[in-house]
Amino acid sequence: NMAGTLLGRKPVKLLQRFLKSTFCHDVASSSQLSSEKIVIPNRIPRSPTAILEALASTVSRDSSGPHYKYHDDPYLTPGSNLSKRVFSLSKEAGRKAARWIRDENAAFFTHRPDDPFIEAFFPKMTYNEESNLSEETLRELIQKCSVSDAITVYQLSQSKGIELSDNVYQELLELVAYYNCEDPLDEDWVEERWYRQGVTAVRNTWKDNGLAEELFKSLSTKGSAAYGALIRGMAQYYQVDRAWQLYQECKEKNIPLDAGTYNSLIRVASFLRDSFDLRWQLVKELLTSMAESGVSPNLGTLNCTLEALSQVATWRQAKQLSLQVIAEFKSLGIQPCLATYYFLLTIHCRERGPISRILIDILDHIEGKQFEIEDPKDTFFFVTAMDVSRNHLQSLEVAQRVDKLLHTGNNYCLIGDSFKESIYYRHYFALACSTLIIEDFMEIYNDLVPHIYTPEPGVMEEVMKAISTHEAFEYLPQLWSDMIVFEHTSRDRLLSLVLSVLTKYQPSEENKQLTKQLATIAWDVWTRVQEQDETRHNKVSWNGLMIGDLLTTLVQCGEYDKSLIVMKEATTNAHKILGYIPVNALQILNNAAIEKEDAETCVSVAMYGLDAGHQETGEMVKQLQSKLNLSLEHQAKLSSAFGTELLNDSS
Amino acid sequence: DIEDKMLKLGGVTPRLYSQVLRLAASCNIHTTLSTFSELKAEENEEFRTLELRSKKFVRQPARVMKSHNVVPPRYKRQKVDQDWGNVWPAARTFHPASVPLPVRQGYPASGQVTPDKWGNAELMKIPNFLHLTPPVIKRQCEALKKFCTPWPSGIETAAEQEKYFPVMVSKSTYLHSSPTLRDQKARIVTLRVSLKSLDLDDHGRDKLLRLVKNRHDPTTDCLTIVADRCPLSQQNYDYCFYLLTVLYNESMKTEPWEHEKEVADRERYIWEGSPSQAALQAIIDSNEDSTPEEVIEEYKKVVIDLHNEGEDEPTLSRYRDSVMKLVGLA
Repeated sequence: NMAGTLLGRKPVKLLQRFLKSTFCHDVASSSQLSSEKIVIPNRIPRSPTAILEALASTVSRDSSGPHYKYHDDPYLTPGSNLSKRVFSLSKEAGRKAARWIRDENAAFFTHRPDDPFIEAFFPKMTYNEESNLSEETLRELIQKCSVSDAITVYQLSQSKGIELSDNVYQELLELVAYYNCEDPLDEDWVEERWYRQGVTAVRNTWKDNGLAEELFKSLSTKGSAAYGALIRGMAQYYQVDRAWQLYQECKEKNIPLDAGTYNSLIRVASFLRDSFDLRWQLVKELLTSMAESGVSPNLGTLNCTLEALSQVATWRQAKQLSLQVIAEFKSLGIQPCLATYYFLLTIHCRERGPISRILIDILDHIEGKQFEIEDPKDTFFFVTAMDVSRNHLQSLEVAQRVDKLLHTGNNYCLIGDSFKESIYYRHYFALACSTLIIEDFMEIYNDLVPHIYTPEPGVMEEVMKAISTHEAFEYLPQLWSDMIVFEHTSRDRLLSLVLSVLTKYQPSEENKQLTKQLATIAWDVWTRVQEQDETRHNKVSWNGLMIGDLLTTLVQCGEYDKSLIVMKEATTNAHKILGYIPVNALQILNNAAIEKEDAETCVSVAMYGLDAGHQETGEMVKQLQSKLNLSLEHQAKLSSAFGTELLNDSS
Repeated sequence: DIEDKMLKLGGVTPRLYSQVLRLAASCNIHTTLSTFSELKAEENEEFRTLELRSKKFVRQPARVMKSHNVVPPRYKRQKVDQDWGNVWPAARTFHPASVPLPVRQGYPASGQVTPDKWGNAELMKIPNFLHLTPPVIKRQCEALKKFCTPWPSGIETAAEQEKYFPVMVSKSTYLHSSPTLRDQKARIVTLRVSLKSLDLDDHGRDKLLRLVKNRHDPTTDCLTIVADRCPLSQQNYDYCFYLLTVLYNESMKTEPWEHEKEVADRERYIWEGSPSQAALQAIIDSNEDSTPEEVIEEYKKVVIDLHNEGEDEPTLSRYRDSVMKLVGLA
């Protein structure tokens, strides 16, 4: 039937052609065709991947599974931050190894079945003395941004005496100045880029008298493009003095410069002057000279000006100036981007300063919009916004608005790298923890953890404190198992916090299972610490409080025998425990022992209490004597330790 | 005791002995005397012992597997009202940790239950349609609707489609996830047309059928032309239509030599001028009573059927009945 075979793009058009090319010689049928004209609507134009994109838009994130890059198996899903990092980087290391092997043995990889040719699959070309070089080769390498190859080819062509045009010199100068004669990290190594922390130290890394300057000197006519490239490169790598020198040269020789060059100088203005107003004066000077030369400013100018202001942010006038700058640029028709807002936040929402609600105004402005990357600093916006919502404004509502914006369209690409993502979620998490009731918070927890965000130990502590405050003990088993997966069980602060939270739990008839689970947790803590490898360099060692909490929990949850084991360990290896078990724990254990008529334990508890120097030990002994019948041995022990008066007092 | 033995073996310093044992102790290796003697030999650079027989199997202690802190399987975290389309967006081999259903498949071993989903090759071999649940299909259709134009009015029924678009052209395109995008099969173009819509007369139809031979399907009365001789599908498409044109024109034409068609060339049996007609005429003539028209007609029809449709039970029985009637025995 017709419907089933209208496949692909062609057939509808083919049928149309068929109709038009009066195939049927029968006059009657052709007149039929003309009388009842079947109108076939035109095909809706679409791109080659439009259907795939439409189908992809129906799929959104699955919160139960790991990220796509990990193998989807319960045993191979990473839980802790360290294992996530290790898994992704090791997978990438495999890819790097494969590429290295391919490039080392280029002679074996000559099979080219691909049509069209895929350059990325073929071994990399190496350039040496024998290779056929020309200006074209150099041009191609510059286009591909392979800096070291371009430099090699340039040097080879110099040694071979090949003539290169001025254009190629200019292009090469631009390339070398931008990358400072070093290869950037390959775009294929996505995981390394993801895990690389983008914060580089602000110090001069420019290669003085390097290839860039050599090329500059060898240019016959040093025009504005050449000066521009060199100034921009120097400014980017913080060789500010030389950049300023070149700028002065340009001014003297009346060489016009373009907007990008001015922008790079404005950005590093803070390094050229010391005091705040002098820095701002320099920025204004640059802007005015830009206006005088007739160079129209662009978004980069706005961002660099604000960046310069953010470096003098403690100056009183900085806030007002920033707003004036934005208004002026808006009148020029330059719309701010996310980097602009980032700088605004750094200027206005300072730690020590008045609360500024500028983030709310920004959100009102940009809510629901989709953004593309326009400035490298765009990726800082979301982290800073979440930081501001948590620390400066302390408002979960604002944080949720920021989160919604992040998840609109493709905005998630602007989260930056893994470091920024984890900080973003850390702030969001901590804010939610302190603001929401525990049930709502656990919903967020279940959504994000562990696949999108693994809480750091500090954040986990906050969560435990919240649980302790709300006394929501039913979440403790899940949190403890998560803590095991995140490898937090070697942090003594967390362990002591867990134990102290456990003590607050009062078992009752309805939640026997929960009691059991919590007892299991307490015992698990004990086993893990006891079974630690002796040679670990950051071993968790017990302190008195932890043992006390442990004893309390075990006794309250009905695990008397286990508490005896703990007590035995505490008394025999008392030197391994820092401090003493607090007296209320001892009292609880004592009471339980009395109930179970376990005189031996009571005596050992009393002896321990005496060693620890607790005042209430005497009371405990009295209670023991009144409630239980002690054997002669026990009596003797007690009397020798406490003195006969105490014993006589009771009787 | 053992120490004495060691010392008696000669040349063994207590220091060496203790070194080895300390080394062994820290590595948790159970040191046997044989390995010790090897070490001793290395130390003192003695002559290597000639081992004619293969070395005795030294049992290594079983490796203690470190238990990993494993996350529980994925399906435990899935809510009952989750969006399944996000979990299983595309066709995928069965993955037990992601599917929350306790499915079982396979023939059970004697005394066992049907094997469960974990590591079940049977479940993994078969295609599953977990990516095509009705809500997902609905969602995908909604997303694709914007690329669709409405069906043209006037060609709703099959008859109308046959009338206005008698020719059907089909080809396949292929998508590969491999270095090469090309697939040779994409050049094949198939053209199908029903002979009813070609408006051929008897002679034309006969000639066409002789020209196309087995490309005609007698049950559906369709002519199928497949072209794959050109490298591009566009070329093959043009070639298909060229063939159709040529076939049609040729079958409409009558060549001068076609009159030489003989009885043996005929595609079907024709009664007029056949020996059976002559024989029947003879019988009729020899018959005194005039045979009724319908008997003659019936005989004629039956003989035609016998020749055209072949000899089988019904045709033969009809022939017999007709002959009986003709002869007058019925």
